Amino acid sequence: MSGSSQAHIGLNLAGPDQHPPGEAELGIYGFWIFLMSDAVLFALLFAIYGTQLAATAGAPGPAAEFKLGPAFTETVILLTSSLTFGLSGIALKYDRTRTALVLWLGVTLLLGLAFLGLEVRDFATMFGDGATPDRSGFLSAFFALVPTHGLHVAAGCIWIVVMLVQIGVHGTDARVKLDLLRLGLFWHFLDIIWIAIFSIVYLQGVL
Amino acid sequence: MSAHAPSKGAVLLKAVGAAALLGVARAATGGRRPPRDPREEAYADMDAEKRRDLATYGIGYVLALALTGLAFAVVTWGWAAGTTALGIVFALALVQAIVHFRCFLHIDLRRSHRDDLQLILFSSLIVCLMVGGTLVVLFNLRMRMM
Repeated sequence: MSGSSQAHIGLNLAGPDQHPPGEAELGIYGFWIFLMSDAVLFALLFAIYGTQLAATAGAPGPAAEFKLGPAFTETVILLTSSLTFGLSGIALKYDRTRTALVLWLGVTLLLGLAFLGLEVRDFATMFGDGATPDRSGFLSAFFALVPTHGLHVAAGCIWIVVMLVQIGVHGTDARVKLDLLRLGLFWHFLDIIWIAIFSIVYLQGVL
Repeated sequence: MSAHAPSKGAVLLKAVGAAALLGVARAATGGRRPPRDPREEAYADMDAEKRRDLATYGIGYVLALALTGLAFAVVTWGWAAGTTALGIVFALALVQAIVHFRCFLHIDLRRSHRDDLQLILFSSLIVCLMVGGTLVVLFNLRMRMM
């Protein structure tokens, strides 16, 4: 709650067993640099998608393949998982026991898995309609962009499992806390990428 | 007339007195009473901060849901057509991204957060240049080849 604990981004964790402020700050800043390079990667995938929008080459196009119902459900699930991750951060910061922290992390993990399940089902439907990546430039670009986000979410889910194990083994020591902060940034960042996906891919495709 | 004036003043005085009493009573029971020991002060501080953190996430979640719902509603029920609808959807997405940065990623204009903010703004600039350049060049190419 003093000046030093406000020095870095993310939910600032108070507590006696904190890293020296400089170290935590640097670790978080380094992770931000990674996130921004990831953002550049996604941006270029979006750019490729934009150039391939009209290149359907007789294969099923966006208007035929995209359904807003599942896309909306996936969006709400992902937004809710961001909220539950935030609640786990608050539990980490204020609670003396780890129950709430583990519980909220578990809920976040379940929501992430539900999102992945729905997305895979969407892809399976598209494959069933004959919309496979090799059919057209548009479908190649789509399957380059959206599953990359899905892979990131899957990586986030694995990371949550790893953190749950670490909490079980090490408790919430300074290193685990810092890693949970980074995981939080990653998870919220994926949400922002998804905003761009549902706006640029799904909503634009159906319009 | 002159008989009424003092009584009015007395009523006013009584009201002020009552308000002051109420204020004192509230200060003594609930409000910002000076804590007895530093630990209690720390707890009160923590409580206020926890409420603030919870409120940040709550507001962020509600705003995000509202903006998402609005964007989907515009497209689903055809409140606008063509380019206008696309513009609305993109504008809503931009606002929602800012809400996420503010409420979930805790980026704000505080001095200690400047480094991260500058990193994000610089990355946004790079992204705009690369995406914009790619789209302009390739659309121009397609137009020439048509």
